[in-house]
Amino acid sequence: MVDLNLLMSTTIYGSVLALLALGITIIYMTTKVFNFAHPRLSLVGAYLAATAMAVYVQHAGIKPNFEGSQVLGGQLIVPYPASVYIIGFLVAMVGGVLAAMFEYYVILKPLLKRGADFLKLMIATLAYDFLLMAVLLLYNTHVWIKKTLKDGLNLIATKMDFSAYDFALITQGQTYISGGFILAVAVTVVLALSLYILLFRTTLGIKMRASVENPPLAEVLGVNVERIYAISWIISGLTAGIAGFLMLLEPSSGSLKPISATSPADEIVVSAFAGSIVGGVNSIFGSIFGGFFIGYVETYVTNWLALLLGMKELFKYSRVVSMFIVGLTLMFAPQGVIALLREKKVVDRILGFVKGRRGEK
Amino acid sequence: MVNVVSLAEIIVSFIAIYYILTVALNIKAGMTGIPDFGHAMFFAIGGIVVANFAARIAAAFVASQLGVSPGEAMHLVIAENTAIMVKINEALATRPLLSIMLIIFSIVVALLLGGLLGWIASYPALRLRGDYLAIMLLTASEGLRIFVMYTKSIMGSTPTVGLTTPALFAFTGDAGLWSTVFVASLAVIVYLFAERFHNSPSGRLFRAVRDDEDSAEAVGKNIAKVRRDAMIIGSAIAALAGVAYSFSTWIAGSSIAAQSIFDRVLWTFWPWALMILGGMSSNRGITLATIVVGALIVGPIRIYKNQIAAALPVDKLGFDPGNFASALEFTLVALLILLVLLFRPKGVIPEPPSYTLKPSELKELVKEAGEQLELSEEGQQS
Repeated sequence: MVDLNLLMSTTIYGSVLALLALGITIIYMTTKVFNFAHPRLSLVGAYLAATAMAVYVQHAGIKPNFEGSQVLGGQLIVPYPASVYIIGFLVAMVGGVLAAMFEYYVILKPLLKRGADFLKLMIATLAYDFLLMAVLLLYNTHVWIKKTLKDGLNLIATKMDFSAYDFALITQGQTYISGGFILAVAVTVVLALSLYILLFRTTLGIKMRASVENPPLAEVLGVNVERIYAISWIISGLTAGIAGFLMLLEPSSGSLKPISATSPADEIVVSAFAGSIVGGVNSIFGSIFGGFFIGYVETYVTNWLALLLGMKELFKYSRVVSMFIVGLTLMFAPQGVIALLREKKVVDRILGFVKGRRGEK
Repeated sequence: MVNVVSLAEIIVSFIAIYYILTVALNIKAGMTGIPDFGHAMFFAIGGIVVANFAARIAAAFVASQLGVSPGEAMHLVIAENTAIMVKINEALATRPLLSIMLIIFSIVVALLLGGLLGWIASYPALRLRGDYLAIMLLTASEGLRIFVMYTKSIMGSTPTVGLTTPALFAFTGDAGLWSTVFVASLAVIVYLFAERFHNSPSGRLFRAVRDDEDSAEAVGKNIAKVRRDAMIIGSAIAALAGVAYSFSTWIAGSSIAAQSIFDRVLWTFWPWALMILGGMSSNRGITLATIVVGALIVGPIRIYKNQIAAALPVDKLGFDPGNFASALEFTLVALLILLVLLFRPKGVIPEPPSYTLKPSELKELVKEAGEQLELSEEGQQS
């Protein structure tokens, strides 16, 4: 029997990682820097979204819909009207974009102009990470914010867990499909599709790919490379914000801890980078694959090992798995798993095997 | 209120620990160009050696006083840490010889284990370049942190509380003073080593590899060996800093926790900040930066942060004073590093040129050569 709750929370976790890995990859492709502050950008989105939702709920006098409430796995799930989630979602995106734009324009762009090498840029992103952490620490312990979140949405500001207000979509007896799960899958699919259309079906996409491939040549041909970089930072911030909103909806029994100034960004920074690296740091769609891959492998491999070895404690070590995956990928397939499969013609071989043309050369 | 003597001791210990740690980072990142973002894991080795290995050995030696067998005592160190360590520390206070042996043991074992971990970490360092290597080391450090945090036999059952350290300086009567003196003398030894190392043949080779691998290889140098050596030496010194931290009763307190010795902010980012501020690969710059930052900013903020926060009218604005002080420290270090990167990317004291001879001897040589030239010119003229 498949544990549906585990599958759903793992999928949300996987899509959070996929979105974060996507943002990291886009930035690495354009600005050539690993953005260590990226997971923290999503926390900015999450906090702004929660605050906006709380203010909206209070001012519009909206009450949670108790008629649609469900008791699932010992937790009471009380959905709000859809407008609350829409506001949260939009504000989360705005928050992510603002934090990302600040990072690009105030910190990285001046450094790039001064010709800083990758090491200095990386240190600068780490410094921005701590700056954001300090700001969030002030934010979530501020009296007004604490009161607003408590009164509006009954959230603890330093330990936000919004899963009790998940919009449970389909319920039938004890099985239900959580709204967070549907949203996670939908958002990832829509984002992947629209990125595909943007990159391969529009002029802007051609310009973007040209600027990644060869910035000086693109510039000579009249592409404003700096604007392309700014657009890539906007996309990156957007995905970080969405990841933050999904983090809010992830049940606390899952792989993510409740949101605070440090958590879960500190814990998942390794997993997010693992997703980006497994996908091959120069492939947008590879990074989406990589994020989901890391999410499922972390959860299911540790669960399976725990069952196999009879050690219940083993699930705590789930992130050590992604460390090993990063190590193995960088050692043996630095271009990413997809590139490795393509290079070794694994897919072709499998297809050939299926079609019975194995002996042919 | 902290009195002046303790304040001085705190600041000296603080500067000494950070100085050792930053020198270790400088050998790896500044001199050889290995971007080590997992510096905390080598530091943590030192903490584990003192809190776990040294404590277990102390337990085995004083087991007869506790009325248990040595094997059982070593087991109890982890199982009932707080209760048994109180007794062990009482016993250690009356056994100076054992304490001194354990101090030497901790340093030697930490150097060896730190070097070993550095040797293991040099495996990726030989194959990866630049940012990939940075990610790899950061990931390794975080992975190791999670492993240690949840493995009870290493750092106890609660990652935030950790293990009580053996009071190795209790026999002196004033543990705070003598641990400070000891840690400071370690720092002085490391300073002398770093000064000599910078201009030594291997130091120059390290920097040659950093500046241009191809030309270093062209003159017959083994690049892989150089990078491996840098990782081993740097990591061993980082582990020494971890030991110094665990010895220091002022900085570490009476116990050290898995979470705090693997802390990315404290033990990876701060050394990076100090190194960039002082100037990469510039030992005197690092010394100056550590002393100034330690004495003026970090020491006082760490000690007086609650008083500072209470003095500022932040609670009237709705902020929480305790968290405001922590945020203040994060903001200060972040702003410091960003400003240095923007306006002084080479650091306070840029990397000095390497003199293979002493500057005075060089001048002498130049003078002699000039005189000879003049003589020969005179000879030609006449």
